[in-house]
Amino acid sequence: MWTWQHVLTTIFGGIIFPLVIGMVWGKLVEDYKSFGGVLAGFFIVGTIWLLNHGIGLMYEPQMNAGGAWSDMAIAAFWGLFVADLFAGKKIDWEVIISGVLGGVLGGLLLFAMV
Amino acid sequence: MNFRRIFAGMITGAFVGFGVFTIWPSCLARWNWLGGWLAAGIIITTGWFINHYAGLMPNKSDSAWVDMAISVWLSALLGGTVVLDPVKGLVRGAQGLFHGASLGVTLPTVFFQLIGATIAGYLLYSIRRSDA
Repeated sequence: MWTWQHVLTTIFGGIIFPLVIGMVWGKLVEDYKSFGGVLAGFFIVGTIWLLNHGIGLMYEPQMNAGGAWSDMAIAAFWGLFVADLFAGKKIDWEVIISGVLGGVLGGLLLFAMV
Repeated sequence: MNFRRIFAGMITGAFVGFGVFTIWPSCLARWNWLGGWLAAGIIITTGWFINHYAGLMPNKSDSAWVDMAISVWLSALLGGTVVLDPVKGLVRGAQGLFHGASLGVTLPTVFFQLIGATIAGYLLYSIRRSDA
C-alpha cells in the first residue's frame, strides 16, 4: 500500500532525474562533444537509476499485483517536455508520434522475445 | 509530417526501448547493482548517439523537446522486461500491458512520477529564464 513515505520518495525521484538531465547533459556535450554523452549515460542515468530503481526511491507495488513496470524514463520525458511548454515552445506532433510508435514497436519486440 | 523521419525515429526509439529492457535486467542479474549502473552506459549512451546526437528522433529547435525516454517508458509498460539470466538463460522478467498486465494498479506510480517531473520542469524553466 502507498504511504506518505512512498509518495515522498517517488516524487523526489521524479524531480531529480529530469532536473539533473536538464542542467548537466547539455553542459557535458558542450564540454566534450559526443564523449560528453558517454559520461552523461554513466553518471546521470546510471547513478540516478541506482537511486530510483536500484535502491528504489520510486515505489512500484504493482509489480507484485499484476501491474506493469513504470520506468523513471517517463519523468525524463515529461520533465524536459513541460520545461519547454512553460517556456512557450510549441508541440511538434511529428516527433511525439515518432517516440510513441517507437515505444509501441519496442514493447512488441519485448513481447515477442520470450 | 515527414513519414520517413517518423519511421526512422520509430525504429531507433524501438531500438533503445528494447535495448534498455533486455540489457538492463540482464546486467542486473549478472553483476548486481554495479551491472545496473554499467547498463546505463552500455545502452543509454548508444541510444542517445543515434536518437539525439545523430538526431534520428526528429526534434526541432523551436518546439518542445521530446526525449527518447518516452519510447523507453512505453516499451516496458507495454512489453515488460526480458532477462538473459546467467543460470536460467533467456527468461521473462516482467509482464507488460500486451500480456494483460493491469494498467489500474500501475497508475499511482505513474501519477507521482509525473508530479515530480512537472515540478522539475517548472524548476528548469525558472532557472533557464533567470540565466537568460
